[in-house]
Amino acid sequence: MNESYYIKGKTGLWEVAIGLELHARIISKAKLFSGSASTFGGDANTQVSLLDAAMPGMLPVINRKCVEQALRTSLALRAKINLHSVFERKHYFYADLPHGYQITQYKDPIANDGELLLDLPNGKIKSVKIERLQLEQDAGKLLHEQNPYTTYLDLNRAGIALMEIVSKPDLSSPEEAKLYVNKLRLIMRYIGTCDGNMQEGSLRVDVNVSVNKPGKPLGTYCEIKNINSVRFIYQAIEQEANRQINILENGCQIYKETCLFDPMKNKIQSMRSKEEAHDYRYFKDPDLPPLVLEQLLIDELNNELPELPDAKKARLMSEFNLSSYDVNILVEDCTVADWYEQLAKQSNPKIAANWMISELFGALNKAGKNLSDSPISPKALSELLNMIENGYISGRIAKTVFAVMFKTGKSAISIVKEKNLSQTLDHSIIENIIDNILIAHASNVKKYKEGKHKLFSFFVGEAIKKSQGRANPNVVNQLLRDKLDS
Amino acid sequence: MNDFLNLSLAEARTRLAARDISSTELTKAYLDRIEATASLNAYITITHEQAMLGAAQSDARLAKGEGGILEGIGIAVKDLFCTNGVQTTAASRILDGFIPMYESTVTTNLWNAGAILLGKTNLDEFAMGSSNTTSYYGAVESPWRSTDAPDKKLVPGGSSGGSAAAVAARSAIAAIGTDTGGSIRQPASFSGIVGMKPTYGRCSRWGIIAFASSLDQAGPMTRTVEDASILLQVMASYDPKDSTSAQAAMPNLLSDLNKSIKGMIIGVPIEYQIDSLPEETSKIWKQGVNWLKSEGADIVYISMPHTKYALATYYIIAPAEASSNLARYDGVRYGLRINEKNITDMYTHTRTEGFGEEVKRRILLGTYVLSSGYYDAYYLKAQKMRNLLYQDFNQAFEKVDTILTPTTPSDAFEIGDNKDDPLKMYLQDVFTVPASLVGLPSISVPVGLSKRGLPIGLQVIGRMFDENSVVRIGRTLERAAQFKAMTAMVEDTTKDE
Amino acid sequence: MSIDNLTARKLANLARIEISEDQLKDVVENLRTIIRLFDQLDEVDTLSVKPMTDITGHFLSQRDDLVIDTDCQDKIISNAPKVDHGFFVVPRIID
Repeated sequence: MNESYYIKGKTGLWEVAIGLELHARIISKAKLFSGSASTFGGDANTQVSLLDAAMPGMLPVINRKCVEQALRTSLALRAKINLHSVFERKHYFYADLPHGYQITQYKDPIANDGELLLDLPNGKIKSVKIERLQLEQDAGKLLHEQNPYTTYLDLNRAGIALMEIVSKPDLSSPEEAKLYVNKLRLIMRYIGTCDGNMQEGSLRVDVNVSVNKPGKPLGTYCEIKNINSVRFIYQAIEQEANRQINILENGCQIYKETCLFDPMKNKIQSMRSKEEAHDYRYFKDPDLPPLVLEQLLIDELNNELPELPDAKKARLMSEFNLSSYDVNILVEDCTVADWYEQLAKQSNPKIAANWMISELFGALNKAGKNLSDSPISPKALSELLNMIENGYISGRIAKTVFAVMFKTGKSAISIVKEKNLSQTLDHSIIENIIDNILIAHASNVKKYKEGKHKLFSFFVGEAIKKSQGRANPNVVNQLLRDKLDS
Repeated sequence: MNDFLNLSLAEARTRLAARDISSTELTKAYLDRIEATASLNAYITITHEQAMLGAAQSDARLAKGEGGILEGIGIAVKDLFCTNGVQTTAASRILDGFIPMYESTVTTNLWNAGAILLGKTNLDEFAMGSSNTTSYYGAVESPWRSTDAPDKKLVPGGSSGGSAAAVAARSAIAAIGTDTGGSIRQPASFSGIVGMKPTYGRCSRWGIIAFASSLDQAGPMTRTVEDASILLQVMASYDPKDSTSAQAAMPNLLSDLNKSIKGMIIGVPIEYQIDSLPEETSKIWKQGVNWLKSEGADIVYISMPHTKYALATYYIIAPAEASSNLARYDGVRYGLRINEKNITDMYTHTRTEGFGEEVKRRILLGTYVLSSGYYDAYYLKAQKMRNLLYQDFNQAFEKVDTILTPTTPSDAFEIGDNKDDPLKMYLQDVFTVPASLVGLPSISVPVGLSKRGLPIGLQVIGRMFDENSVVRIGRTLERAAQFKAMTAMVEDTTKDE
Repeated sequence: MSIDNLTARKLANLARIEISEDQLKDVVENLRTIIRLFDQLDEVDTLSVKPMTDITGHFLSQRDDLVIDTDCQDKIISNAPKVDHGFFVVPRIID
């Protein structure tokens, strides 16, 4: 893995500085300032209150849940919570913005100075500083496909609570940007503040990119707006960095501007220059007194925070003696980690990790299912794993049983019983099989006794074969030794 | 019939409760009076059928000995309050035909108390003005005429000019208005009626079309201080739907209304004695001071050094908030739309055609003071000035219980005057904006006539949430002044009988 | 500070208001007059004064996370100039 990311230009190497602004849709029943539903979808304008439609005389009242969700996220990012924060109005005209302004936070956001730790591929940990976390309203949705001459407006999304999370330009490669988004999404999923679904727009990313020669100060940045997949973030940064290098190497200057990334063409398109086109005229929203929070509430929320991915990873590694590779997969999703822990509590943790990662995930993948839809519960899987552990069935048989479990949802025990697959623990049966083998291969027995001890494994193999794999190899070994070596 | 028209709200309540008169008779009398005074253009919408239906229902309740505090009493409502199923326009073309599907909290409180909607009164467009000449539905004419030029039409003041004219012309027993920088008190003063702006936060702003959110307050416009107290008591409530609504309970305004003011300390701010103050205003102000003194109040002359900056402060803050509050009128979801092929043109033409000149001027001003490069010099500076004004009042209220000032520098002017000079128009608000900027309760009470025979009011400003002292001093002035003057229009109908 | 034609045009554009060529002179003149009133504030030293953004001294009260505004599509679109299948319809916006 490369230690540092450089782009080679005509004039030498360039560094890239990337800052990310994530817009994360808060999980709540109602919107940020109104009592209409914040669920995704629904018929046009059915989840819109009078306030969301900016009807004359309507006033905002803040939703406590949204505030708490922002606080949870801030705490998980180890940010400094501002006990006094302010809502401001950001003005611009657009059909999806009913009030002609967005209620957002500007000078005094709910939190500042957070931090996110990235596990770099080279094994190092990188700290990325988070400048601010603010609460704000989402806009409505415009649809252009209905009619060639008109645009349709649906306000169901208007007023849904968003957290805008702004990083410092600490990221220095597209890979780090990708890791950052994934990690932040993971944390928010752990604490249940944002589902992180980029396709549905629950998480939208603006990327600020600048380039500079090594050792030189950061360049002027351009903002690429509304990227809706991690893959596109990667591509957009590469494209934008190269575009800027090209401009600079041709002796021109970078002007701060807002761009869009077109994933179809893999191209950056410039919008109008941001500074010229907009004058947002921020001022404190006179409808909303300051948001004043009590430290007690913050402490409570902090105490109630679940175990976060980094802590969980460290604990799983030490508690269950797992590899970093396995743990990374398990903590990727807190439901996975929870599933694993339930399983690991009831069976051998190492075997549990292997089975979960290879067998269960493999089967789920093939079936196109999520872990939450798994036909096998942690308890059911633990029963199967314990049957192997106890020598009741072999690993090979277990895979067959697992396939049936996955298909039918039946328990391992019932399948083994039904199909008569258990390893024969009954000594008398195994003894009988072995006696028959020793008779059938009397000449080999003679050779063995004469000193050809390699033949031992031949007898084991025959016994297992005769038992159709149901004889416990340990028992077979023991009985053979008793009979041949006595 | 004229018996009905000359009743105060308090008297009407008593007689309705005694079944001496019926709500149907009373309501009919006022609806007829609205028709007879239609030339004043005080109403934009008259809810005739709804009112008569409501009156019949009230009569049924009254017959059973039931009913609320305002049972069966018709009220005129400034067309800035959203009324469910009844056109609400803010006197702007941009909202012409707009029918809200919701009812403002203040009017809901009125209807819950048994009151009846008579109609929606005219106003300056979006409540921006001091003359009620900027309405899309035409200027409101005052029922008053001056003795020196009786053929000239006068303004009722603004922005709640329709409500003021209606109460003055007896086409409503009482009305409600809104006050941002004087929009209740100034027209009350011009029209010879009582107008009160309570403490910011007393009346919910939910459902009132916003002009400047940090200043807007609803209040009563009535013929007597007692009526204003009764009406305000009903209008005010804590409303969880308005984040700026005050949780403090409103004291009973009637309990102390007629109590002696002996020992109360009245402040007279010397800075209100501006150079341009006409002598007659000054004289009436002094007269007010003397009345209060003779009722046993102590008079203290106080200094409020930042008073002269209040007007500039107000005309930065109010337009700034207005430019933001009026951004929603874009022709997309309701109201006027001038159709264009592209959306930016649709916005621009809708807003250019939909708003009148004064509204556009204030939007531009507000946009200016908030725009990058000017925010600190104007908007931020004005917020700091607001703090200094707050401190002025705070220091004053350490020494005094209420403050007495003129409501306006002069009496009513002719329709068309000051039209081309916005600054001169803004100067109308010079005495009313300081209390607005600090959110203080204040009342205008008619106390005398100018040389031209036009009403002049005095303003009483109280501490935050101390409406009680305000109405008490107001009532004392009312009692002392014995203001009985009637407009010629009202006198005429008296003679008819 | 004063205001010139260009600034007035810029403001009008920000506010989505059109000022016709023949109105421009009057509009600018009126704005200037009012802004001269504002410039009176320069007399006051406010360097150490805190801006007052709230006169109530209230803190934000918070609502519970309850969906109470349901089935209001009718109320929302009843005054709309143009509607189709529950959507507001506007002239085509080209992104």
